[in-house]
Amino acid sequence: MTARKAAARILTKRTCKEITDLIFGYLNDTLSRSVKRDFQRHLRVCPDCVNFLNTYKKTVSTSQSLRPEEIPANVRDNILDFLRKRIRKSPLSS
Amino acid sequence: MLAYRSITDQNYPVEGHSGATPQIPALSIFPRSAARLNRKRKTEFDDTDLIERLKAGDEEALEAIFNRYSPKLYNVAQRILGEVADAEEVIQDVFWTAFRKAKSFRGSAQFSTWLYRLTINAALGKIRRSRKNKEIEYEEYLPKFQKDGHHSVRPVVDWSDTLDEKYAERELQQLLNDALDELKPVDKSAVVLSDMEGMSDKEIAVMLGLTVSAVKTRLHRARLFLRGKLAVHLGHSAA
Repeated sequence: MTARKAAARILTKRTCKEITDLIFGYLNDTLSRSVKRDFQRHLRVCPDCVNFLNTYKKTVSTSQSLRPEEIPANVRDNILDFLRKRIRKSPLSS
Repeated sequence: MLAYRSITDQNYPVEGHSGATPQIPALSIFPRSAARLNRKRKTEFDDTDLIERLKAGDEEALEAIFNRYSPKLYNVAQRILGEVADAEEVIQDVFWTAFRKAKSFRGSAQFSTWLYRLTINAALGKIRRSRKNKEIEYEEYLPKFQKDGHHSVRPVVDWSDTLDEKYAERELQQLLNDALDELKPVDKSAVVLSDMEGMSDKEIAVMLGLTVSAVKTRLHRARLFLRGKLAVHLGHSAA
């Protein structure tokens, strides 16, 4: 079998759509051994899916790198003020 | 852009795809790795004493708990709601509820989990009540496939390296924040809890009252949407 035919066979076994659906499981390492093998075989012959996977991973790593929203000092003070007033108005211990 | 050509075509791979064997990207980059979870566990506090004092109505215990958890809870609320005033209201309600209902906390779930749940429920409830819950169609930014299941737009461009080159960190953060704001509230909550808080799918399922399978589906779809938004910003096809 020629390399081209072998590649076509692999790409037919698992389509790009199926590979896209499996990305989540692949990155979390929850695919079964045989499915993972199919996934990796597909990637070896499909540059489109490799590129898609790279951009998916980049999206996740960018999302993970988002800086947390910091609580502004005035908001923090407002909330603490509110809580103190409410507690004094209706303390649990009374 | 090259038109899709069937893989059974004798000419496959098409032009631009006949080079070296593609490198398979490294396996796991996700935050729920054992190392990250271990780091997370180590930073968790022992709240037992504070909870007991809270149950007794101790104001100082509430302030200590506020100081401990408000930064994380505020981040979650602000990310879900998008408005400082809304996040303030939610966090205020969460800690007031925590004070009033501390006695009902049985310790079956971690205290921090309880606070997160209060925060998410309050934030999602606020969105429902405000009717800001616009229905967003993801389709435009999701990958497209031919009937035979292969990419409809080819080649798929790998822009993963150009993203950092094209945008300064602040711009990139803003770009992703804007895209996050277009997600459905529950999906946005799942992304925030997963990517920013490092929670497992199981923990997220508990927080959002979903099955683990539903969490995975929502997270994957949300990430495909975010990916599509970034691709379009860079001048490429979302497909």
